[in-house]
Amino acid sequence: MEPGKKFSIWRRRFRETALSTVVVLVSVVVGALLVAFEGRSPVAAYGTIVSSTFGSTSNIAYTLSQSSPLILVAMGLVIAFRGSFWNGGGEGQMLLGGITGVIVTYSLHVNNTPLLLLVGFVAAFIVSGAWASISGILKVLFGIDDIVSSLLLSATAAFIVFYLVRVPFASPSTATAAVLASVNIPKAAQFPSVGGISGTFPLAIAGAVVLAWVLAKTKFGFRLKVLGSNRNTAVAYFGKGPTNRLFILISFLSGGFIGMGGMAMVSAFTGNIVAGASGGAYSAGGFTNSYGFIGIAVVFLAGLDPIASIAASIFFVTLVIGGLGLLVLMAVPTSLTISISGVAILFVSARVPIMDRLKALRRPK
Amino acid sequence: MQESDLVLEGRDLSKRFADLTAVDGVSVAVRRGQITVLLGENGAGKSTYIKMLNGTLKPNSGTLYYEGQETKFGSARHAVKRKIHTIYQSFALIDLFTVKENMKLIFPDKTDDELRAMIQQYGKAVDLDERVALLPAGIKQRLEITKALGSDAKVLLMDEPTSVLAYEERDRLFKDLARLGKEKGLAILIATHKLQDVMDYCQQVAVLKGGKLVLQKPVRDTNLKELTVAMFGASEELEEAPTETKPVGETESVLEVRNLSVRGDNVPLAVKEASFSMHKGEILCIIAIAGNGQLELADAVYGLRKPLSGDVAPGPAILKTGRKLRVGRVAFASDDPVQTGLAVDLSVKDNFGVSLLDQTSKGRLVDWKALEDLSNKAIEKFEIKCYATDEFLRELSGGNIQKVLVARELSRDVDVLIAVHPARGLDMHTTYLVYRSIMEVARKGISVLLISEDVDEALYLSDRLGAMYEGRLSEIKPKGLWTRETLGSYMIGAHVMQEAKV
Repeated sequence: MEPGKKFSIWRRRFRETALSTVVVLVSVVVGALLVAFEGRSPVAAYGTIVSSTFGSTSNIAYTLSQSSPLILVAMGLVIAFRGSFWNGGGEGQMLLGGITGVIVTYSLHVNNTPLLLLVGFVAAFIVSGAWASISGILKVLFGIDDIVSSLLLSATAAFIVFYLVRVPFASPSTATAAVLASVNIPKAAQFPSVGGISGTFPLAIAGAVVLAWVLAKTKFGFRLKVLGSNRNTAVAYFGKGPTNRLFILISFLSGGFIGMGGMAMVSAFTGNIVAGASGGAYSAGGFTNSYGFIGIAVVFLAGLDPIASIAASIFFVTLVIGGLGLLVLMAVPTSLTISISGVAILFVSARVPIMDRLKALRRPK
Repeated sequence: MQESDLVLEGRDLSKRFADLTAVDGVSVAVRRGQITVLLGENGAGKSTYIKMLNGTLKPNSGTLYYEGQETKFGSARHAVKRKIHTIYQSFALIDLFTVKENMKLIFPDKTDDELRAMIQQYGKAVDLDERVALLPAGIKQRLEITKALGSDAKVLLMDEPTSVLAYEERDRLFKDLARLGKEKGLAILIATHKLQDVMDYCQQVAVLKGGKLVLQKPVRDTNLKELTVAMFGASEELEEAPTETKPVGETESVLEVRNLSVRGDNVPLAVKEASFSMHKGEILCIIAIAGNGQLELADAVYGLRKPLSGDVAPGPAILKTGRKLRVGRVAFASDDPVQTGLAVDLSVKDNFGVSLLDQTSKGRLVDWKALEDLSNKAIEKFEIKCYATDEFLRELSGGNIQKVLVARELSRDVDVLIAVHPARGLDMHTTYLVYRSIMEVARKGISVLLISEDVDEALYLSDRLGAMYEGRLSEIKPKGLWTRETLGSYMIGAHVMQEAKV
């Protein structure tokens, strides 16, 4: 051990948190410039975003509730990316989780809320997990790139869901309309809320806490980290078979959490799944709010930390909801807030190279 | 030999990288119409020297003379303009292009027939429409030579040209090079670690060892023995080697390797029917120059590579305990810790946990305290320089990163340890630290397989010893029955040449 210079893990954590905060601030400033460029007042625009998300207790409650599906999606991506399973199929997995929740709760014909929710979430977890693990298995067996396969399977999942929405589980009232919706979940399957905050929020927080504990304290979490950091090393010391099984398990759990995100969306907000609500008939974006993609930015902003992902999720949800507020109250197109998230994503991905540059500058030659 | 024969000459060239002196005041000349060989082990400074001759690297001191004039090349491209061509081990050909497309890049004005004639001039005819990726290495090399000669090269520098070739191809290459040298007055320099390349077709030889020139003469004035001694002769003084010799073969074997053949990444057969047994508390060393199949052998014994034939089985010493000899009971220190063995983006403590986790924590939870204690013990013992076990491994220096792997694998409670040149790149002090620890674990009863590239290391550490050349393992003998010279000559394939001559 080298004495003299002090090393503190807390100092490093502080530095990382500070860096993420700077990333957020920079993207907010660039967003302000965009607004000003449009000839609007950035102060008024940000005022609208803040008031429409945190302006009243009911707005706060809604923002937190809305963030719960994203937090669950983010947990799925934290597991995936820590274990180097590059899950690009969050959208499809979320959609599958949602439709599974709808079908299961609709078909059960019981009136017991805890039972419906339990069965709904477990079923969503299993179905989406199984779907995501296809990519894990393909990677292990044939070396097929997991980003590509998960992304393509996402589109496949969307088609399956649209079939289910149009044919076997189409809502009787909208069957002839241009926009097709699935049947509604029974009232008893709606997640109860307390003080306007949906119960899915504490559920998501609990999920994050459990995940944080598992990753930090268990051998599973440790092996996941090693596999994610260097696969060769994992194979050499855990064995090839166990490493492959671990990878498939990671893909399953990843899809599972994301599926729970879809179920949370259904049981707390939408109540059903609408096909082609936005962005064309085959887009899942309407139902998922693009959380499957936004989640990627969330977890990288949070440095793949489950607890930090909660804060990052709330930040991105603020932009999503605030963007709607801007549209309604100031007639500013939502593309503007999408640009702000875009800038944030850009800086998040540029974070590591920027850090390296800074380090290189500081290092004495 | 007339002075005018000197085409390219380096005088007192030196090159330092950080605190390592790769080449130290070496003067070598390349002569018109001759093949000069730069001979030396891996890391002796051959490639660095070639790169100084062709402008890729700037020497820290010394001067370059080209056709009698003091010269400085700004870059490798500059040297090519002055007709100095270099062919590296990895060819400068585009694999996805056909032969014709590759040649047209250099000679846009030549017709198909002219191209065909050019290639044929230096060897066999080649189908112009064949994709380069599908050609054997020997043909690709021939295309490179064609490219150089078609551009009227005066000097041809080749870095390890024979390492990718089969034996017959190698012979052909030298015959053609010798002919070209005479016909075109081409000056050729070949860097190699294979003694076999020197004797038949080359005129001058210069031997590098540890960046210094140790011998330079016409090939006809030297012999295999002298070159072997020059390449491997005693280096720095070693601590007194332990004199006690262990009784060998009396104990039951721990591991049996039987007729093991292993595919390589570049060659169809990297290990050819290797057989040996490992015993409790014994250090068995296999020594070879890089690229002779020893890494593939280590991988196969550990189980990272599936053998083509033959097997690795636990011996009676393991079988009678009823335990299995699985991954968890064998420690493994690979030759490239960053590639396999460590995870540089994780903390130092995490890296110790990779193979010490089950030793420190029972059940499903990680006992971080126990892991921390064991890590700190290893860090102290191997004098690893780090501020805290929470530091990322990549923040440590290269030597310390390697020490983490060695320290961890030597801290394990196992039956067998496989260590692939565990002390390479470490300073003398740390090297002895590692050596002492290896002897210590052997005394504890662990059976050690040491893969080494260093004759001194092998003779110092091993109880029994074997050498490997082109995938073939020599007889494994107690170290007392080997000398530095017999070992060295097996490593460079002198035995193959002598057999060929008989």
